Amino acid sequence: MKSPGAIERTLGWVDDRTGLVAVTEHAMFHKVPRSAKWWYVFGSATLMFFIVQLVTGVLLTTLFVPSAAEAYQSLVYIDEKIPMGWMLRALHGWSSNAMCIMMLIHMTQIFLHGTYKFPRELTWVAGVALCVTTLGLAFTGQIMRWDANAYWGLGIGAAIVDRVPFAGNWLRSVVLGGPDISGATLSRFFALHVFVLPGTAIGLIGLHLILVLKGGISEMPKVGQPIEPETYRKEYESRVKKTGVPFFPDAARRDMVFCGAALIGLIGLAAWYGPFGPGPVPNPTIIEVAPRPDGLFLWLFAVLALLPPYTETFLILVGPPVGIAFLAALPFISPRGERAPSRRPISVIILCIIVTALAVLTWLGETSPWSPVMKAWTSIPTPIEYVRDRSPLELQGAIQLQYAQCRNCHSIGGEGGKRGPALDDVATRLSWDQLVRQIQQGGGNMPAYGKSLSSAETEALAAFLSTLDGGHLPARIPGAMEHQPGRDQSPTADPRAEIDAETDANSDTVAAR
Amino acid sequence: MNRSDSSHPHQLHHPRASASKVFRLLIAASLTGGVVACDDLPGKPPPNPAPVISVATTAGFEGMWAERCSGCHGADGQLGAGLPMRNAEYLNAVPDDDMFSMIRNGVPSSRMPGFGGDAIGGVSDEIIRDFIKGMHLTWGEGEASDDSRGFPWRSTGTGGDVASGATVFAAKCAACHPGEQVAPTQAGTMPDQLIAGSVTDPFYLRLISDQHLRSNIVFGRKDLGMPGAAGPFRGPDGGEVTTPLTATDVADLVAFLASKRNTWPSGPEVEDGEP
Ligand code: HEC
Ligand code: HEC
Ligand code: HEC
Repeated sequence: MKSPGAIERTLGWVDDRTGLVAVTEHAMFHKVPRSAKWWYVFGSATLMFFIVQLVTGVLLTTLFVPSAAEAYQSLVYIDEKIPMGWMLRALHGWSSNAMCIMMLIHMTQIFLHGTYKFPRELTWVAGVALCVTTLGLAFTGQIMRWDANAYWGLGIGAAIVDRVPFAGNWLRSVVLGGPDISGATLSRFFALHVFVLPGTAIGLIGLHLILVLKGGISEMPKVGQPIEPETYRKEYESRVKKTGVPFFPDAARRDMVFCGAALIGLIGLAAWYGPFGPGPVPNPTIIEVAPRPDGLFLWLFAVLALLPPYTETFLILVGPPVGIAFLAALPFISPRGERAPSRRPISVIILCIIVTALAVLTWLGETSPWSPVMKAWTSIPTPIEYVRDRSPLELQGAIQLQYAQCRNCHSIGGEGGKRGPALDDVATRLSWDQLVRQIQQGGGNMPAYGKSLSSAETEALAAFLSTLDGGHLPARIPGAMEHQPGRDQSPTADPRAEIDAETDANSDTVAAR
Repeated sequence: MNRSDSSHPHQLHHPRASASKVFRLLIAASLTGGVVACDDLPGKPPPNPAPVISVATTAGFEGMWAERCSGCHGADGQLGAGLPMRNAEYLNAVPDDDMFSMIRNGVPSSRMPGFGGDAIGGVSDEIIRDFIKGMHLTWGEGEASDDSRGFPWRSTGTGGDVASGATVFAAKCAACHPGEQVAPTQAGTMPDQLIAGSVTDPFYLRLISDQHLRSNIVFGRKDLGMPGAAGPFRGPDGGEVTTPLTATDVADLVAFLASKRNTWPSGPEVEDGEP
C-alpha cells in the first residue's frame, strides 16, 4: 500500500523532470489586463467546439465505414441503430458550423481591435493557418456524408483544381484518386479529415496558445494609445502588473460562462434540428435532388455561378492564395500605430465590404436556381416527340445528352436543369459549327467537353441538337438548320478531316473566346 | 426539457453568481439534459426511407426504373432513345447473369452506365437481382410474339461474313436505311420518303457495341417501326420482303455493320470509343 507521501513524491518527481506545475500555474494565474472582458471569449469558445469535435469525431470514426459502398449505409446505421447515434452526428455537424462561426467572429474581433499588431504577429499568422485548416476540416467533413452534396462539394473542388494550368489533370487525379469521383476519393478525404487536418490543427492550436501566453492578452484598444514596438512591451507589462487580474478565476469565469452557454445552445440545436444529411442519393424514390454545399461554402457556390467565365480561372486560382497571403501578411504590413477601430476607418470599411459580400453571396447561393438537377440524366426521359423520326445517330446523340449529363443543366421538353438555356429550339439559334464549338469549348459557365468527348460523341450530340427546332420554327440566324457540308459528302471524301482540322484550330482559341 | 434549459441563462447573468455556482448550474443542466434526453427528441431523424416497397414488385420496379433507366430507355420502357426493355421476348432471351452484370457494371466503352458497386449512389447486388425480377414481372409476361424467331440474345456461332452481310443488307434493310447519313432537311425530321436513318454511318457505329447491334437486329425496335428478325423487311424496289432472317444472316449483318465502323481513314478515333 502506498502512503500519500508516495503519491506526492511521484508527482514531485514528474514535476521536477517536466516543470509542468510551473507551466500550468503560469497559464492559469498569469495576469491579464482588467479591460479584457466579454470581447475575449470567442477564442476559448472556438477551442471548446474543437474539443467537442475531437471527442465526437473519435467516436464517429469508430462507427463510420470509409468505403464508397458502405459509407452511406453506415451513416444510416449510426442514425438508426446506435443509441443516440444520431445525436452524436448532430453534435459533430452543428459543432463544426459553430466552430467555424466562432472562429470567424474571433478573427473579426482581433482584426477590428488591431490585436494582430506588434508583438502578436505570429499569433495572428498561426491563427490564419488555423482558419485555413478549420475550413479544410469543414469541407472534407461534408464529403464524409458521401451523398449528393458530397458529390457537389467534390465537383467544386475538382472544377477548381482542373483549372490549374498544365498540371490540372494530374492534380485532379491526385485529389480524386483517379479521373473521376470514386471509392478512392472517399479514402483520400477520409485520411485528410481524420488524420492530416486534425493533427495539423492540434499542432497549430498548441503553437497559437503558447504564443498567446508569451505575448500576453491584449488590452482593449484605446484611442491615443498607439503601439510603438520600442516601448510597448515595457508599458504593457507595467500596466498589467499594476491593474491586471489573474486569468483564473477572474477572466476564465467569463470564458466558462460563455462556453457553458454555447455548449447548452449546441446541445439544444443538435437535439432540436438533428444531424445534417445524409442527403438523398441512394434513395431510389426521390427524383428531385438540388445539391448545395453546406452553408459555409454557399458563397463559393454563388461565386462560381456568377463570375463571368473569363475571370473565373484567374480569380479562383489566384484569389484564395493571395487572400490568405494578404491576411497572413497583415501584421507585417501594419505592425504599429493605433489599434482603436475609430482610428482605422479603412480597415473597418474593408471588413464591412467583406462581410456584406459574403452575406449577399450566401443568400444568392441559398436562393438561386442554379444548382444542377443531378439526376436528370438517368431519370428524365427524352421527350417522345424528340425520339420519333430521328436517325440512329441522332438517337445516340439523345443518349449522349443524357449520358454526358447535359440535362443536369439544360432542359428539353420543359424538364431538366435551369443553369443553361433550354435546348428545345437550339437548332434555330446555332449552326452546326456553332453547336460543335459550344460543346467542345463550353464557355459562359458551361464546361468544355472537347477533351472528354470523342469525335463520334460530339458528332452524335450535334446531330441530335440540330434536330431541335422548337416544332418547325424558322431559322433565326443564317446558317442554322442547313445541310451540313461535312455530313453530306460521301464518306470516302473524309469529312472528318475537315471537322477535326477545325476543332484542332478551335481548341487553341478557347482562352480567346 | 428545452424549456428548463432556457431558464438557466437568466441566472447565469446574475452579477453575484460565483464561479462555482455557475459551474454547479452547468453540471446540473447537462445532467438533466442527459437524463431527459431520450431517443424521441425532435431532432431525431426520421427512419431513412429505405425502399419500403421491394423492387421485386411491379410498383417498386417502376419507381427504380423511373429513377435510373427511364432517362435513356424510355418513360414506360419504350420510345426512349435507347433500346426498349418493354419487350417480353427480349427480356426472356437475355440470361439473368448478363442482365445483372450489364446493370451492375454498365456496358464497357458505351453510354450504358453501371448502377451497382462503387458508382455514386450505387445499389447493392441484391437490389439489382430484385430489380431484374421486378422487370420480368412487369414486362416479361406480355403476349408471346415471335419477332426474334427464338434466336438467342448472345451470338452462339463464330463471326459472320462481311460480304454476305452486305448482300442481306442490300436485300432487306437498305430500302429503309439509306447508305449514308442524310442530313435533316427541315431540321427535326428526316426527308419524308425515308423511313429510317443510316445505320452504316461510322460515327453511329463507333457508339454502338456489336452485341447491341445484334440486339437491335434480332429483337427490333417495334416502338419505332424497326422489324425484328422475323421481318417483314423492305426490298430494294420498296416492296415488302417476308422471308425472315436466318441465324447466319444476323451474324453476317453484324459483321457487315461492324466492318463499316472504321471506313473513314483511321485517326486517333480508332481508340476513342471510350466514353
Ligand atoms: C421498315 C423499315 C426498316 C427496315 C426494313 C429495317 N429497319 Fe432498322 N430501323 C428502322 C427504324 C424506323 C429504326 C429506328 C431509328 C430511325 O428511325 O432511324 C431502325 C433502327 C435500326 C437500328 C438502330 C437502332 C438504335 O437505336 O441504335 C439498327 C442497328 C437497324 N435498324 C438495323 C437494321 C438492319 C440490319 C435491318 C435489315 C435486317 C433493318 N434495320 C431493317 C426501320 C427499318
Ligand atoms: C454546368 C452546367 C452545364 C452543363 C453540364 C452543360 N451546359 Fe451547355 N450551357 C450551360 C450554360 C450556362 C450555357 C449558356 C452559355 C452562355 O451563356 O454563353 C450553355 C449553353 C449551351 C449551348 C448553347 C445554347 C444557346 O442557346 O446558345 C448548347 C448547344 C449547349 N450548352 C449544349 C450542351 C451540351 C451538349 C452539354 C453536354 C455535353 C452541355 N451543354 C452541358 C451550362 C451547362
Ligand atoms: C445514360 C443512358 C442510359 C441509362 C440511364 C441506362 N442505359 Fe441501358 N443502355 C444504354 C446504352 C447506350 C446501351 C447500349 C450499350 C451498347 O452499345 O452495348 C444500353 C444497353 C442496355 C442493355 C443491353 C441492351 C442490349 O441488348 O444490347 C440493357 C439490358 C440495359 N441497357 C438496361 C438498362 C437498365 C435496366 C437501366 C436502368 C437501371 C439502364 N439500362 C439505364 C444507355 C443507358
